[in-house]
Amino acid sequence: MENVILRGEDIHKSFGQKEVLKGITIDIRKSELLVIMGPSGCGKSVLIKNLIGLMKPDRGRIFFENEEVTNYTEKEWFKVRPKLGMLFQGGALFDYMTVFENVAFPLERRGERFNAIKEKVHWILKKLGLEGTENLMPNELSGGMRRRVALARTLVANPLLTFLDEPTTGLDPVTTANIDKLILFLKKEFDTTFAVITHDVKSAFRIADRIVLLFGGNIVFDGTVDEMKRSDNPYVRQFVEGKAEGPMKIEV
Amino acid sequence: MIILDNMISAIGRTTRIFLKVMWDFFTLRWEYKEFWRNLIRVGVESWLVVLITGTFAGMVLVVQTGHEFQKVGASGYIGGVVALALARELAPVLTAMVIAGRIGSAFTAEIGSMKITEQVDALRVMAVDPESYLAVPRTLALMFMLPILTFYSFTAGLIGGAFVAVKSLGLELVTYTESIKRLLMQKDIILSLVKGAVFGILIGVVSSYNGLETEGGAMGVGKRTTVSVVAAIISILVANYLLTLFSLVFY
Repeated sequence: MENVILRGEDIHKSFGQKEVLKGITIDIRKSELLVIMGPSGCGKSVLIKNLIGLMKPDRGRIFFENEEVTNYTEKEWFKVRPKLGMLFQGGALFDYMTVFENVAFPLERRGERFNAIKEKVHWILKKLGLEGTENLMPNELSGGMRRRVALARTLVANPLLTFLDEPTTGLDPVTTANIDKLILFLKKEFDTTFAVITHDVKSAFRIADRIVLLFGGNIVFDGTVDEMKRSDNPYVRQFVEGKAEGPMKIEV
Repeated sequence: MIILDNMISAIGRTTRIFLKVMWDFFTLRWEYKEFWRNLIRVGVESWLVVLITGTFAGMVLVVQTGHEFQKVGASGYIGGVVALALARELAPVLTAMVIAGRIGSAFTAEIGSMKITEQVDALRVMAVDPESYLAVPRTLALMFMLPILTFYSFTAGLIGGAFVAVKSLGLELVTYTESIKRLLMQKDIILSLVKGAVFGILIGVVSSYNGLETEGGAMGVGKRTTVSVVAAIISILVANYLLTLFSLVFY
């Protein structure tokens, strides 16, 4: 398929006795904004880590730009990773570097000249409303600002495909709406593809082109926002309406 | 069986980090910014504690040997014996122990905290090898600083010892320094510096390995830090024995 950037086929992953991914097949298509949803602990982060090579699946195959990367060594992944970006939950900013140094980091690693780096960093910080924060340390920033700096660091190197792991979890509704708006803007501005993990249904409906719902290690729904709103799939209904009862049995 | 398996994989990964350090060192891939940062930090954070350690080591040596030697009329040997003991064993080993506790634990805690907050994964996603970026510059910084700190500790020990010899034992300073000149040889200094470098590498590799293997939140960091210091100390003692044997055989 031409417009599929990343494909995971029949991915299985277990940790000891616990089987977390039970045969997931997922496509991420060029220029789309795919939302991956599911209850906490259903394996969303594990799936992403497998797709990006931070973990290796027990079974299944992964293709990036039609090339099989399932058994790539870490070194081989290093050749692919410059095209990928990932925003980690909590940001994963380097705490001993300033905001500027954090955002400049991927560009420095690529060997770009300092003046070019300065320009790009200032530009993206401005776009994300972070002007003036260049010399602050991550622990001096609020949660929302830290997320935005992490977003800046992820996007400054212009990746082809960017994963956002719960970008708005734990933020207030207004900041969430602002970040959603930002994500849509950045998607257009950078012409990049996004795969967003979230369990915020409202947020997902605002930004998604396509939504995939994960539960119990399997995909239980894959379709557009409209299809999801109209679906009478019991998993979808329970999740969208936020009901404690239903086919999704969560142990609390 | 699981314990043996874990031990073997621990030794394996630690060896891999060590080989990476050596390779990056000889091919000049030093991550200069990180190397300098850690070099300066090691010096700044440990100069005082190493000074105190060395001084008191020298002082206690003089106290212990002083009275015994004076009893048998061998006060002409005090300075030299203290210098030999400091150079060959006490300065390198004590300094390394202090650095393992001070700096080794800090390295493990730092790298471990980075691991549990996904900063290490973030490095991998940005195509940066965490071992080359985190372990190598720290280990190289220790490899350079520890010989310097060892020599500094040795000097402090000699001076502290001189002070006790003159004030407490009533020894002539000249007697003390002359006996050092007579007994201390160049190879003793070289041995202490070599030991320093080796211990530095050990502390760097062990502390980085433990940092990178950290799991399980803040408690995991705490656990790994303890393991790291203990493992470093044991490695230092074993390496010290082997290096001493080696030096006696070859000289």
